Amino acid sequence: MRKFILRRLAVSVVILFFVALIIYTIMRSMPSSFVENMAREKASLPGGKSYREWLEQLNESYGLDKGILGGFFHWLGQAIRGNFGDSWAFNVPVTQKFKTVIFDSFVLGAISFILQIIIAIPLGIKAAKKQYSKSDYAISVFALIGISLPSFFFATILKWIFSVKLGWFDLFGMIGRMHEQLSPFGKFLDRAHHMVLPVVTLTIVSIGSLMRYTRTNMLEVLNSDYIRTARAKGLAEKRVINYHAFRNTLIPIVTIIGGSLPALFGGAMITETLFQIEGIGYTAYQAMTTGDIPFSMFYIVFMAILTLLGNLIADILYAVVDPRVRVN
Amino acid sequence: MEDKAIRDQDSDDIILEVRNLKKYFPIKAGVFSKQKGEVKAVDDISFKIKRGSTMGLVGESGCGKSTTGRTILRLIEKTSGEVIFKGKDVYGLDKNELRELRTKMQIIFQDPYSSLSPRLPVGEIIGEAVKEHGLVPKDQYEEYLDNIMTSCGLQSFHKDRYPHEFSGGQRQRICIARSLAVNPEFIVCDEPVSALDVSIQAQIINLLKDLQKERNLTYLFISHDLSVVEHISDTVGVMYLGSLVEYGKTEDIFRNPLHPYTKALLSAVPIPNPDVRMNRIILEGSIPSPADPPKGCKFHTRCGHCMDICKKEVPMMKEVEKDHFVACHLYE
Repeated sequence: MRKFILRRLAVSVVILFFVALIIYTIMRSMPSSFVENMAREKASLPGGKSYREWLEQLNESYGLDKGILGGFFHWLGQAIRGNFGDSWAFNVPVTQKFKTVIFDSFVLGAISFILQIIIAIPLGIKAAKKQYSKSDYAISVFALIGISLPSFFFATILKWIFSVKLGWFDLFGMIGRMHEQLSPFGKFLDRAHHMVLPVVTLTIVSIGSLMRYTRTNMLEVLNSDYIRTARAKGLAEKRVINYHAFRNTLIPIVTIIGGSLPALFGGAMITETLFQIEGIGYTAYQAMTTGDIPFSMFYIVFMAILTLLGNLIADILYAVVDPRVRVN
Repeated sequence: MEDKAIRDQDSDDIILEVRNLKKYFPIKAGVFSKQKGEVKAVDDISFKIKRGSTMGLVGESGCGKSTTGRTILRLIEKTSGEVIFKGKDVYGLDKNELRELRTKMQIIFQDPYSSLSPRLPVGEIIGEAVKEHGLVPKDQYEEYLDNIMTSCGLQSFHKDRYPHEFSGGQRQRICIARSLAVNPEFIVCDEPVSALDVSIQAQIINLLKDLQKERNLTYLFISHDLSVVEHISDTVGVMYLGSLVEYGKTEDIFRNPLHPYTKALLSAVPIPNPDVRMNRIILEGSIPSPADPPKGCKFHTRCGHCMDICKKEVPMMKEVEKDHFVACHLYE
């Protein structure tokens, strides 16, 4: 097992290298860059240097005078030492900006992730147990609505109903107007209150696929011979479902959950933007549109690491839940 | 009156009686899943099995042998008819009584690869039902499990292993140990050896025979392998398209087959002697669809002795010799 993990980690390093290289190349090849915009702005000020002069000067100070490969290896050399440089758009060190925005995203992601699991899996099991019944169709329709609704549309409807019509929640933001005057517990409640709509949006939108996945796998397991064996043993139906069937359904579900790791930390770009939450998704979006290479590179490498780690965790969990895959 | 007295006298000996059992599966089609027809998987079957004996059930694939076995155990619900096990109607029991009865009636499935949960260690698979039903006091449980496993040719250290670590024959031993663990009186063996190598088949068959002697078990042995059935059964029933066409003692069926279908089946058994010329009776055509079986005798479309009456009237089961029943117009 240790050998397997080490080998996977070694492969991951190679993958990471190429992911970073490709992203860097794309960022550098974009038709308009952060530096060009800045030079244009500065050149339009009265009495300054020309655009061309500004461009040359800025290219040098931002390290863009080197070629793509040269620039990449310079970035890589620094990044390996833990120095990701300063964000161009936000004018602070990348890691510092990251620390201030990750928390809200993580809380948002974690809550909706947990809700997603505790809602979707029981629903999927229920739907499979009563295949083609009314409750199965009801659950499936609900799931399909969740899958099909774009988050911006769903969030807008939620806002319209609960904020505009009913006035239960603020339209956006993570804290209310009176936040600073509140007691610590009141502050917590205020934050929780602002979290409700984004969490509902994220949960409803993501519930569908996990529920459908659980249902399909559960159906497959329920039709298998060993479930018939369990029934023939005279076990109670509850035990057949919860012990024999669910255990075997877990095997494929684990991959989905492992694959959700990036989503947990990666932030939800659209939802965060709609609710104006200063999360990692919203920040990364801003960084990319302004051409902020250091922050974008950091974000994408971070996501790549999470994805690779998620896959590795899923593989390890596979061995935990499925005795057939245990590597000797 | 007298007839009834004889039956009552008999009934002590009869562990299982099946009367007019039918199982029709609905065929659904269309957007609103309207029922378009039914597959007559088991169509009016009756037979009795004596305690301690083995009844073989033979027939080609898809003729309803397995469905019969499963409907008897109520693993699938019947359409109509009666299943009397030890004087009680299996279909008259409520959920809890049925769970209790499961310890008395067991089944060994055909495929030892898919019928064992891959997530459970073997000890758990075998012993789970014992614990669930509280059959053995806790302090004797391990010993009980070891005994069952050894008597099925497994070692007690196999308990902590998982099914994928075993070969097909060993897996079938696990399946047998599993069904024996609850101390049943009647076991449906649903093609228990057809997924195994020939060399392993003999071992498993002999194991089943030994266990039968030891524990006075009753088997319903479902198979399409006639030589296996001849070896293990006391009585044999031959099925065609959901119905029993011939039924009697094993010697009678194999030495003196009456129904044309049985004759054709037996003629297909290979004889291990190259000098003997085999007189095979080749059946024309393929088995008709059980959703739309032929009228009259179901076999008339492929029968070499087909008469006019066969196309119109369903032949009744008749006792042609002592204890030898056949449903064919030739013997009326």
